[in-house]
Amino acid sequence: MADTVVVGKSVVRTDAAAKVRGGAMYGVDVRFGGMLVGKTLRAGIPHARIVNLETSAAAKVPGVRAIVTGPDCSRRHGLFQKDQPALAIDRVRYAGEVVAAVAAEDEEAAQEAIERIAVDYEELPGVFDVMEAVAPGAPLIHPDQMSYERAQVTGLVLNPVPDSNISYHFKLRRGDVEAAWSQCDLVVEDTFSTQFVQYAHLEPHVTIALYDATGVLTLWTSTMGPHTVRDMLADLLQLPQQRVRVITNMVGGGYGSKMYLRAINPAAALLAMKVPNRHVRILFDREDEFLSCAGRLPTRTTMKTGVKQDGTLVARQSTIYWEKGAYADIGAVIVRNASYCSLGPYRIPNARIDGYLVYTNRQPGGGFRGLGIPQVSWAGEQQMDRVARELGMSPLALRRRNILGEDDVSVTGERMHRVGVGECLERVAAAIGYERPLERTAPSGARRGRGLACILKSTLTPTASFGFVKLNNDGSVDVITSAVEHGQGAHTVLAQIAAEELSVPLDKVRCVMPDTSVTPFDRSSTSSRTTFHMGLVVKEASADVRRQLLDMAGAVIEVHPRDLEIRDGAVAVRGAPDRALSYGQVIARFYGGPGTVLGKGVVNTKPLYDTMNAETGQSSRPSIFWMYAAIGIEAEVDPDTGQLTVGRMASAADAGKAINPLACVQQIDGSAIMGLGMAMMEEVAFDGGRTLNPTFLDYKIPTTVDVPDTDVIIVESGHDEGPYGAKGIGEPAIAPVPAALGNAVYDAVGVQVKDLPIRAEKIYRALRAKGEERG
Amino acid sequence: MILRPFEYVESQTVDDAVAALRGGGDDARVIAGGTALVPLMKHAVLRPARLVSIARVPGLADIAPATSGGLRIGGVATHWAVSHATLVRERSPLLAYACARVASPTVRSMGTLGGNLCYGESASDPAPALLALRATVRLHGPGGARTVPITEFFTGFYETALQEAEVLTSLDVPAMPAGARWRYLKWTPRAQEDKALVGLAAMLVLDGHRCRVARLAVGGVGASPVVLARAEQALEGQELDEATIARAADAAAGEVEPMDDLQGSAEYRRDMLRVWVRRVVAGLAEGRAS
Repeated sequence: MADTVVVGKSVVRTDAAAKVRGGAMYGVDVRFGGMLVGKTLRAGIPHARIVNLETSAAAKVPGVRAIVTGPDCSRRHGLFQKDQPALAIDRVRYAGEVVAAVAAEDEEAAQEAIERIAVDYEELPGVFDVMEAVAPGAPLIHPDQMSYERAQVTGLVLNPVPDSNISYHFKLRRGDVEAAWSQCDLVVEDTFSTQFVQYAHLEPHVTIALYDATGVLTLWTSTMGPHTVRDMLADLLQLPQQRVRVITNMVGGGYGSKMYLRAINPAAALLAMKVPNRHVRILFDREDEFLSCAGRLPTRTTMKTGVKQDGTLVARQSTIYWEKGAYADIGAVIVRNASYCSLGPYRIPNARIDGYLVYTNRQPGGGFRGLGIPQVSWAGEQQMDRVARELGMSPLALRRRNILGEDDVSVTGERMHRVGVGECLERVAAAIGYERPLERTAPSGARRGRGLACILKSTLTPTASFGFVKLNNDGSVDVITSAVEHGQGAHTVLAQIAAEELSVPLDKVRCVMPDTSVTPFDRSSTSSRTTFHMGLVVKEASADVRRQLLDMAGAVIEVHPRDLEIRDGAVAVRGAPDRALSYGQVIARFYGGPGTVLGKGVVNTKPLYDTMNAETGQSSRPSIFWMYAAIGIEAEVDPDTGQLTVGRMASAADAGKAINPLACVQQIDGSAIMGLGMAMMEEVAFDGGRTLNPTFLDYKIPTTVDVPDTDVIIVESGHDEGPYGAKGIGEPAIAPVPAALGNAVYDAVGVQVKDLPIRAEKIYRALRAKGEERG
Repeated sequence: MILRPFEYVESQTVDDAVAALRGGGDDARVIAGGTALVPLMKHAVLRPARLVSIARVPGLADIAPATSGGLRIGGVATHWAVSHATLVRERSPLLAYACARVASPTVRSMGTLGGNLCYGESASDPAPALLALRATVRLHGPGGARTVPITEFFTGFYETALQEAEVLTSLDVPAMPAGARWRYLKWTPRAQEDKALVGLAAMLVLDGHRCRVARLAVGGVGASPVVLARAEQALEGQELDEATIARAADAAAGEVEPMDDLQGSAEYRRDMLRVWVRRVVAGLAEGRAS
């Protein structure tokens, strides 16, 4: 690769100064004069028939301008299975479900109106456990699911099971698992479970909606996928897409939460359509976030592994029940993508996977950083350590023996290339001294242990992304895409690519904010896909600008374009550096005045995608790129209390090529720390369908003082199609953390916790039970 | 999650505050730092019609030496002020340290010591320290001023001896004896910035290895913060050997009535209190940690 000037260099984020000074414009900062205040009413009951919903008293509150309820919109939405009403119609399926919304002149009036809405419910038997939900005779949460409209999606065959709470069943079949068990020297089987986790992004959901006199519905909303919101709202409200305009500013954290249609969007839109020409703003509070939004899908995974005495994996099988809560949302993709990765980054000749998407009467889970991989690796990577122990091998040696490398074939049947997982694993192992002797007892008396885990993860495929790069008269550049800056540093990376390709300083490039009426289509800034997809778009659009510039300059100075080159921010004649024109001069002389150069970029991964077989889960290319990560942890356990302290955490992820290495370090570190929260403390607690801890007083996330010493390692394995060889980095490091920590706990004190999070009391109880066993 | 309308009274004197509270009846509440009250109002757990602020009453945030060698600390002194005051650090380091462990920096700099106690939270950090120090609470109400030993102040789950229209004006904190060894152990196994699962305050005065004075109190374990009287008895007058310390730890575990919640089970709390009494007392006996 040719030397690069800006790409591959650690640069200060282009949004840093504004954010540090408090001047960055987030979704919550957007205000309009005369805005109405919108509020939503939650059901507060997990499963019920709505017998009567009375709004007349609310309507009489002075200042109330609009009230909407379920019957105001009869269609349903859903990414794949259209199962969800805008607001509950007839039936409530989770306690946080929104049943009505109000718009009023001020907050007090809106609140009073909400309190005056009277709803009579007839409570229905609820289902609050994934295994109860799949048991025969369980109450059906969507009795009509077979009649729901379903989207046609490439590579995803929706197959709801009749008369059940299962809306999707993913299957992978490779080799002959049943025959293989008998060839194994050791077969182990365990069941693991994971908890419901909240995103806990700093900025809550916020939406301002305006239905103007021209019949355009505009939403200013904090979302990671403006076009997805547009498409889903247009379909729900039966409006043409050009009359639904979604504008997004800086997003204050997303992690998968601010995607698709949470109740806030249709509620604001329906209110706005009742009061044309008035802005209606709904701002969710923290309780709304916990009760009416989404979270990480809880799982129950039974994993079975068979090996030869030398550690060679012969067969692996997983059965995963994914609790989706009340509505299916993106569930099928989570189940498919995480299930086919559930057996880990290994060569496994015989594999069988069954993943079930299951409805319950709790809040819907959603896509969440790592998209299911933290849950499945919690099972698979702890079981790898158990297999190693029972074989008398080092867990690292067992992984080395089986890990995917160049030209190996994955469980979906893909021949793998540029596989960075082995290097990730080796480097974290080295960073924590995994193979060096460990002083087992700390001065405090705590027992020390070390643990490793590694993963692979796919990205949404196939997808298409589009964008423009616009060169202005003065040589400055606008990057016009729908990439959302939600803190991950995407706009800096895209600016670096445009600056590199057009040979201009980074501060001459600006990424505009998404506006679906202006910026071209992109599915979403999720799935760690922006650097790869939008990076390619910007690179291609910049090349388009360059080509046009050379043609224009050739015409202006009457030289063949092939004798021209872009050098130091100007067009120069090859071999005659004194004959150079600035970009502004090229434009001015070509047009005889001001103008612009507009380049276009398109990326479409469909031609490279191999449609996954619905019966066998086989595909020679299910994902346009693979993410790899590994975590190494050294931890201490206090044997008298069970208290767990992480001393060191090394994290490595394969960036392909780091465009902004500093940002990659921040993404890997942040992702791994978020994983520690899931591993050690985060858990939404329930009593049936009721959430017990919807505040940060009772739901803890790690703060700065909880973070151990961290080593962050960027692995660069390249990618044949990615921009400069780059791929995604935002998610993978979260995924191996819980399992690595579980393995460190076992290494320290010889007990295994199988249900997340790993709380001190669980370790304490397990230690007590072990002590009693030994007498 | 919005504050409902209320009347706000900024008192200039304690008598003004008491009068305003009487006038407001059951719907009136005292506010100082607001760190506990305002979130409860936002969640509509409390809907007071009148808030009576005592935050700006002259002298009510003072920290002053007492002639006995102890301290008088005004009810609206913030945790930050108490934990940073040289006087407190010198005369009552146990209290200064406990106040430095309250919640997070923002809460410490807004929340007041009196507010912390009047909230009646079991997992209060200053409460066990003040119990171990045998402080006295000064209250002022419609009937004038009165004092209550802090050992009688916490009466139940979020309940205190505070009567209608009473204001906590100050605390009398006796001087720590010369040579006293002390520790406040705030144990938060889930996350550092969490409520104490066990908040153990201990002060020992030793003659050689013999324990002359033992003061132990704990928060977070039962319905309210309590003195561990039987554990104190098990230590006082005894040589602090392993068996004595173990007896005291068992006594502590036996005299509390722990509760279950999301942080941990009652049984776990009891077991952990036993562990921490043993460790903290053994540490102090050996001259470690203070």
